[in-house]
Amino acid sequence: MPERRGRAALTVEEAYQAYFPRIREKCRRMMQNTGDAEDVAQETFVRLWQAGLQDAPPRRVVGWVYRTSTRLAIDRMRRRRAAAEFSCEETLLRLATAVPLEREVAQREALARLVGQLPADELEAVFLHRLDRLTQPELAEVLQISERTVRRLLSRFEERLEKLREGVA
Amino acid sequence: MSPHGEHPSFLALDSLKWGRGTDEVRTHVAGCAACAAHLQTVERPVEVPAWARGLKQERPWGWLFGGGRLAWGGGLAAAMAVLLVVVLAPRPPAPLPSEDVPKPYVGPKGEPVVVVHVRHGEHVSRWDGTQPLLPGDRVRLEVAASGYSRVLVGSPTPDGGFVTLYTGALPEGGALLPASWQVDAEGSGEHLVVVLSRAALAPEVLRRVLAERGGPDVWVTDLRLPKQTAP
Repeated sequence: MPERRGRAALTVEEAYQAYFPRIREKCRRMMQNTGDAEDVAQETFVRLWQAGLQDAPPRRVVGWVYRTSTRLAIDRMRRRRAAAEFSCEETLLRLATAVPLEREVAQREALARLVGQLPADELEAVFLHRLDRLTQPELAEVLQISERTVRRLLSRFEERLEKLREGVA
Repeated sequence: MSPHGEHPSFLALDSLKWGRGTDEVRTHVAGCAACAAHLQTVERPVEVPAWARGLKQERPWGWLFGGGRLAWGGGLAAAMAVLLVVVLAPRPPAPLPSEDVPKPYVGPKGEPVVVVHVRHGEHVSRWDGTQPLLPGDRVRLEVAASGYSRVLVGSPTPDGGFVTLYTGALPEGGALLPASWQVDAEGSGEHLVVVLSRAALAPEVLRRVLAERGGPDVWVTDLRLPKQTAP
C-alpha cells in the first residue's frame, strides 16, 4: 500500500493497490454472484478514478466507496429477474428466523431477494448495517444522512422482521 | 464496535491503514483471526489488470488516438469509419500476458471508435468481430470520440421498440463505459446500438435518430454480436 506523499497524485497502479481489494471484498459481501461482484467492484473503481477521487483524503474515499458500491450493487441486483421470484414475506421470514450458524449466508441471500421490494434508502442502510457491520454513526457518515434518519430506516426494517417473528411464534 | 457482537465494522477495518482506527479496533484485530485475515486479504499486493492500467491518469483511454497520424490506409480508414472493432484474443482466452494494455491503434481522426470487451470467466479480451459469444459472457464497451459529450447504449426489442441500457456523459477523448451486460442463452445474437451526441437526446429525437440511424451532431452505430447457445 502506498503511503501518501504530500500532495503528490496517486498513479492508477497505486490507487488500484490501495482501494480495489477493499472494494472487491465489499462487493463480495453483498453479492452472491462472483461475476457480478467483480463487475460492480470494477465499475466502482472506474468511477472513483474518473471522478478524480483517488487523491482525496482516504477517509472520504472509503466512505464514497461504501456508498457507491452499495448503490451500484443494489441497482444490479434489481435488474436480476431472480429478485422478483420470491415474496417479500417469504424472504423476510427467512431473515428473521435464520439460526446464527447460517445467518451470514442467509442475510446475504435474503437481502439480495429484497432489492426489488423495499425502498432503496432502507436497503442501503440495511446492507451496510448487516453485511458490513456499520454502526449508526458510520452509516450516517457514509450515507450522508443524520443518525436520526439512520435509526428510522433501521427501525422500519426491524419492525418488518418483528412482525414476521410474531407471526411464526 | 459494531452491533454485531465482537467484531468492528468492515469500514473500520478498511480504514485502519490510513490511521483512522481506534485503539479498541487495533486491540481487537491483534487478537481476532477473522479480522486479521480480512486485513491480510485487502492488503496483499495484487496485479493491476489491463483495464485499470488503461485508465491512465488524467486521460482515460488516451492511447486510443496515440500518434496523431493515420496508421490505416485511406481506403481502409474510410471503410472503417463507421465502426472499428479490434480483433484480439480468440477463445479459449489467451493467457495473462495478452491482457497487457493493448497496443495503440489509430482511428480516422474525428471518427468515433467503439471497442467491445468480452469477459469470459476470468479473462477479458477484445471481441474480434466474428467470434460467437457464449451465455454468461459479459460485454463491456469502450468508446473513444472527440466532440461528443453523451453516450447512449440500447437494444432493439422484438416488438420493434428500443430499450435504453445505459446513458451518461462521455469524457473528452472517450471512456470505458461503467455498465456491462451479460449474454443470455436466448436467441442467436445480441444487438446493441451506440448513440453519441453533443447533448442529451429527448425521447422523440432519439426515436428519429434511431429511425434514420443518425442526425445532426449525432453518431449511431450497430453492434451485432453472434452467440453460440449450443455446445
